[in-house]
Amino acid sequence: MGDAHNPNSAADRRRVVRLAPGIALCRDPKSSEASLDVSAEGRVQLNRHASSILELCDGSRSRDRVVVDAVLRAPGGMRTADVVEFLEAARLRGWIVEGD
Amino acid sequence: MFNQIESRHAATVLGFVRGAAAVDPQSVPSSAIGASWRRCMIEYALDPVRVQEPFVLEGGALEEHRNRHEYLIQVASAEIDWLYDHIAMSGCALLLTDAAGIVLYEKADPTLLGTFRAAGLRLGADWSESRQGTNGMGTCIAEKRPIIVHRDEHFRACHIGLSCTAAPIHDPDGTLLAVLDVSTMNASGTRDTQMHVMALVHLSAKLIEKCLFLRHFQRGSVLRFHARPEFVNLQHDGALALATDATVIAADEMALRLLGVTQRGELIGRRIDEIFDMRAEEMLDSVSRSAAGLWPVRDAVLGRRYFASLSHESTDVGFSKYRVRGARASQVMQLAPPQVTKDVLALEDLAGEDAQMLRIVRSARRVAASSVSVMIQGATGTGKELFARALHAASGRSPFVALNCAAIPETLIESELFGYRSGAFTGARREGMKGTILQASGGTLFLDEIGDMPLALQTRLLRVLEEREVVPLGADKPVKVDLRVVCASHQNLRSMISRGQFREDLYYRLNGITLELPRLVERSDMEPLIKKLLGAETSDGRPVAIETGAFQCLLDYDWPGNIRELRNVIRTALAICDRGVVRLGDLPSEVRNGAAAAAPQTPAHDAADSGIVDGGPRLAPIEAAERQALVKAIRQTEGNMARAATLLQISRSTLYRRCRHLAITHREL
Repeated sequence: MGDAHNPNSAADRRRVVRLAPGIALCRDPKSSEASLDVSAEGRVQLNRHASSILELCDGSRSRDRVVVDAVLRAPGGMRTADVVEFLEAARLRGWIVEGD
Repeated sequence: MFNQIESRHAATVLGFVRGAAAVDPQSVPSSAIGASWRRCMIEYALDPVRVQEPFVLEGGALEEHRNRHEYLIQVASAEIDWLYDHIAMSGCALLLTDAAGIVLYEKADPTLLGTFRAAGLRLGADWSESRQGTNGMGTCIAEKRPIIVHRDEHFRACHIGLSCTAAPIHDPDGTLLAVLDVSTMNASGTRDTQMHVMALVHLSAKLIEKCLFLRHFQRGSVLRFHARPEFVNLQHDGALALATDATVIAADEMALRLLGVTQRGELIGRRIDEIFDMRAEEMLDSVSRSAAGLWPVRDAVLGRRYFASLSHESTDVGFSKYRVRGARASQVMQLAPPQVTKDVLALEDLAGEDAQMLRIVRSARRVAASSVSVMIQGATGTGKELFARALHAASGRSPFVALNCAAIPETLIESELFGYRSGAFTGARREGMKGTILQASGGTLFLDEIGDMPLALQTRLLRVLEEREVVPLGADKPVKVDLRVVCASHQNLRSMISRGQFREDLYYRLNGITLELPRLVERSDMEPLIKKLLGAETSDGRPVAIETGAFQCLLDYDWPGNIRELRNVIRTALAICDRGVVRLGDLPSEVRNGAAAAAPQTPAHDAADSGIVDGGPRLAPIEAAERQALVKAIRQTEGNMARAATLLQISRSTLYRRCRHLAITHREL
């Protein structure tokens, strides 16, 4: 049990997710893409699907809710598995945090 | 120093907000100004007396605001320059702010620049009401409508020398995007003299709005209408952007006003035939038949008469990237699913936002539907064929037939081009062959590397083009053809003409218009281009993020090739990346190693003796030697690939293939 955090536990999936402190989502008004300010100099480019997922991580939704809302909102449809994976990648990189 | 006038002003403001009787009935502000004064004191806790240094964004922070509004600035700056010349008022400053009140662009009387600076009218300054109190820009943002803030209507006493007239600019969904403002210092005129300025500023703001709306939906259908036919397609018409199924996905303010509608939600999501008494299918049909012109239509509710026209730039409507707000948004979104990635890119896709490419694409668009011959010039890898295909797609002709004159042996070019009847020569197929010219009849014939076409065949091709008929090998009767020829070459055909290697008359026949494609590294829009390709490659709904290092690497790489190459790198990276996050390690090593693998600059010295060409790719010694031999031969023959191939005793197609394999580029030759 080295890694105490199990992202797939039911309790965790019910905790709300939000962007980590110091991380900001910047929208490009000309297109639907966005970028993520991860540090003073670092900026991660997101496509519109990724940005629409992170947009939902506003502290008002649980991770499950984010997945559901992201899939429902995606105009061309997103695969649930892709959203789950992306959220996990975002958590591992410290872009989003979970908490009550 | 605070003078008497200023302190009296401060007293008036304080008195008004505190509800005291006005000292001077003349100084009672209008309701909008009064409301703003109240906001300033009560909500923002500002002090009319205090003189505060203007808050100015600089460096990276300002750049970021400006980058975010790059296109707005581009459109607005042209309009502002025009407005500056047409405002019959000396000593003014024109300013464009974003919705936060940050000045993004300014044009000011150069003799008064110092005064404006001191007053805070400068690039990067924050003129939001919460910072600067009642003022043209900030109060326009707060009130969301055009406004005049004349002299002592300003909240802060230090601003009462200013007279400001501002109008809002909205984005296609009606959200406030920017403010256009004209400010003067110590204007002698009264508030009323500002009214004509107001008219001009408002007009310019509306024009900018229209440009932004049309630009936003340039890839789709926009229906424009007005009660008077001569006003359609001008600034004051109403514009409705339509999805492929003819539902309205956006409406501009004029459309709302003309249709007597107060909320966009009343139009968005409805089919166009619910709004006008026209059949959507009929309308879209006539558009695809490129029938330009106006239809008389009636408002389906009130029966008012309008004239409408529909612009329809491209068949693959890309509306889905636009987020529709409002209750019916989700329905609208589902009605216009994103286009699946396609191999033929539209001309506009190729152009991206590069100014040079946009110019080329504009020229190409103009001739696309005609039968004017087009010559595409550009270094190897600039995407000449891709461009030819896009041009063909925009022509409405069919089919597209390509022949690479360098890729097939000279002896076969003739039969490939002209075809043959059965038994025309030994080895000929029994059933004969149609030939690319005949195959391309009615469509586009793309002749790549036309410089490699043998002289004798150039003569025959010229005859085909002039007489519009072809005689297949072994046939006795000519066959009529309807051709549109697009050709491409990386060689300098003019110098080939002077050397007698290319027919001048054919050159002029083929060269109705020359389009010279820049190389990818010469383009100024790599960042939006990469984002666009990324968007296109993930239109299936995959969420994807690119880490800083990887994105920078894509930007910095000295791309020797074309968009297709860039797209392939992106596509591969997306395929192998873990959980949707592209890291540096997901990019091919040559891109990662950047300069080392990029095409070499012209070597400073003759590389004949060194094993490896300076700056060239890292190759095994044998390949390095081969590369060197090829470069030498091509230089010796001044870029004539046919002669270089003869010299090297290999076929031209092999030569091309090896050049590509060894990353020999036009630039180093």
